[in-house]
Amino acid sequence: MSAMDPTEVFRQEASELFEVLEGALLDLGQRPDDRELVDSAFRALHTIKGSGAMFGFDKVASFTHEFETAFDRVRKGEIKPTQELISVALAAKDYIRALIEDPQSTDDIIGEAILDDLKRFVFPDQPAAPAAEIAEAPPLAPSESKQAGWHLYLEFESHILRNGSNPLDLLEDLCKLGPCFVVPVTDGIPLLDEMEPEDCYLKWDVKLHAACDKDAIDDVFMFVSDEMKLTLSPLEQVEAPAPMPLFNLLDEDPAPVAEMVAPIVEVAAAPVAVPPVVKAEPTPEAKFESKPEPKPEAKRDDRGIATVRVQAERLDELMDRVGELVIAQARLTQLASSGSDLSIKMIAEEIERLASSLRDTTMGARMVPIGSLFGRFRRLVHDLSRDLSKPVEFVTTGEDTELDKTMIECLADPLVHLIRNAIDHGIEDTATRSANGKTEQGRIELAAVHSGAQVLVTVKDNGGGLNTARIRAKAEEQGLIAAGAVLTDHEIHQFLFHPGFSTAQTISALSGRGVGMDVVKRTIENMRGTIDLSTRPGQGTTVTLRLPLTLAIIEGLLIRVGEGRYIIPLSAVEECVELTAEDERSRGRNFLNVRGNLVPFLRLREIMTASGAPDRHQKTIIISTGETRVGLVADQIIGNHQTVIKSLSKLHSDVTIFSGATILGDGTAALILDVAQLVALAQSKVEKQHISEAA
Amino acid sequence: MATILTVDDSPSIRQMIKVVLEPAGHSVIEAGDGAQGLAKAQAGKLDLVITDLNMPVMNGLELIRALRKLPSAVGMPIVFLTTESNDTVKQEAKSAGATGWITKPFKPEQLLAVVGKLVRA
Repeated sequence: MSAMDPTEVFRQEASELFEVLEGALLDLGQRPDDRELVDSAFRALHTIKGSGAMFGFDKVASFTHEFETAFDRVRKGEIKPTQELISVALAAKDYIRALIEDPQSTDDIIGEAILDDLKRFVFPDQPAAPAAEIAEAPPLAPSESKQAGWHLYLEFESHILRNGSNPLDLLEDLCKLGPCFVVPVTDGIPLLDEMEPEDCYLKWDVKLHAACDKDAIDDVFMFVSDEMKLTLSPLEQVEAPAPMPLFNLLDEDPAPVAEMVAPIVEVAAAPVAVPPVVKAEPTPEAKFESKPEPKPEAKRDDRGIATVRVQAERLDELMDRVGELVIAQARLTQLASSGSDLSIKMIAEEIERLASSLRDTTMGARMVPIGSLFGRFRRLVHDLSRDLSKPVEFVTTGEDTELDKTMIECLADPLVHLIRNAIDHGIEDTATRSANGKTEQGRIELAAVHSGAQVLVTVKDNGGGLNTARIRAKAEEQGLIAAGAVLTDHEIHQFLFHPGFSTAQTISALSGRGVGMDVVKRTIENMRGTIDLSTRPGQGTTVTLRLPLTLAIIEGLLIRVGEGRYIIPLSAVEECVELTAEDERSRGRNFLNVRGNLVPFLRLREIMTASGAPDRHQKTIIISTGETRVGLVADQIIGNHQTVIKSLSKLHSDVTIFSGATILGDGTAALILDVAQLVALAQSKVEKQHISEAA
Repeated sequence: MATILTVDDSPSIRQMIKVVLEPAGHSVIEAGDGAQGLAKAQAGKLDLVITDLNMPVMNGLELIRALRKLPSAVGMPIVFLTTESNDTVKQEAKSAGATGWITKPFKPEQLLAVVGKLVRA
């Protein structure tokens, strides 16, 4: 079918159309008022005209055009299809058929006679008009004198894309005419939430460097000329365009380029041409060397970093200010997002970004590498090892790891205690070591490493490990557990953190300085850190401290319980799950099934004694401290919150489950939950349950 | 390359469009009136529609308006064929949602030029 000659298809089609036309004309004689017949005849004529012209039957086209024009009056109901008219129309039809099927047999004179007859019936009141030719596009006005280029400004109606026109395609077509310099004009682009994604907002300024006709340009925009504003002006000053890609960044108009380049040249030339602004006049106040060195050969700091010593209090103050700024910014953001003023929203976003980067910079300024602290312990290990006659190798890694300077200071005492413990209780004496096939020299590793928003500090010895049995016996002796209670090793080791708990058989001269493991634990928890022990009998003990990067501002998860809002430090949050109806039913048991693992959970509503009806869909936030996971059930999870920590007053020092407070964007306060305390609370509940179930 | 629907009650016009566009690498689908055309457009993604205006059952203008209501035809170019060079018809078709037009009679090169203007590789 596709190989068929379209002309042949037209002949076949035309003969069918003639039958349609003849049938319609004859029927019209019977039913002159049948619109359907008129339309069908008219459509047949129209197709013959259009297709005839397509396939080179020019005479058919021009004759049919006349026929159609005349018949149009019938279609419009201006004249009735009389029998006489129908007879002429049938004759006209026969003439067209002859024109197609056997053109030799026809004569133009016959055709004109038929048309004259037709017009007499159709336009009875006017003389036959000279036959009009098939309307052609009006001859174009002689094109303007050829320009060396054009300056175009294109502005499309906004709906242009929807109707299938693509301005970019048009620009591409324009570029085919010659080298183009295209600049999009973006001032019509609205704000994002006013933007209609299917609309065209861009306008274009185009310099076309081609000596083409205006017609060629009009041709490009032929289909959209009524949907756009095209401002066309000849390019004034035209120089031969340098060979350039279609879209060139550089305007070849020399003047602005020179203007643009000039200041750059000046700047570049400055060190040579302009005498140095800073004369080398050493003043007594010149403490730091951030000023440019006048002489390049002068000795420079290799690292290119100038250091300024700043009093620590100033950094603290700075951090406080930043904290207040973050709170004020949260209020601004809240205010802006509740209103509809877009410019305020934009400013609020900008300030949010700035505050966040200022916070990071300020925190960075307070960061000190932990190596400065590690250095102190070298001497400690050396002295202890000599006093106890235990040769010890001391290895430190991760000295570059940075921590808030306040935290470094707070870490010193706990670390002294841990290292002392490791040598005193951990590392065995030389005789025991060699009896167990170990090297005589013990080994203590002090390491720091970044892990997400936390820093892990580990003290690891390769000594004998914790004596679980002895710890248990001591705990029983002190009445901390009932004899025969079932406890895991890990649970037993937690007694080491109990106040007044010591298993050392002899009090060494080095211990007993008022810092026990319970104090270590409390210090670490005050820094919102956690402490964890792991041990392998005969191989050693590892104490792991997990510390937040900073004390002042944390990433928090804001939740709602009843009317109150609370913050959970994000670093402790593992995941959030919905409390299913099944979990809900297991009241009293308070265990949650998280992918096959049983996790105890606490209902914050009960702990906070919240009033009002609970939310229908309760959420559970799974928090963890090292190995222990606990679920906290809240009414709503609001989202992330930059939390500036304000400590609670002395009045609240006996409050255990909160580690501090913060101020929210709307000015209200939210309490920060103490993760370690909540985990301990949950565990004690679990233990009570165990006991009550056992009983 | 592109899938083009030609809607015309004249098989010869459809044939002509087919023999010009198929060698140029396009695949041409045919429909004999507006209603058929609309059904074809609903059945699959098209890159271009070339439609006559004067057709039985559903004429070209009705087809263009119906096509523009299809979510799949947003931004799809629609070209109409017209024998008139008067602007009234063009205005009417354009406000119905047409992208461009081809004036009958047209030569194969003219058809290819218009298709090339509206369909990009």
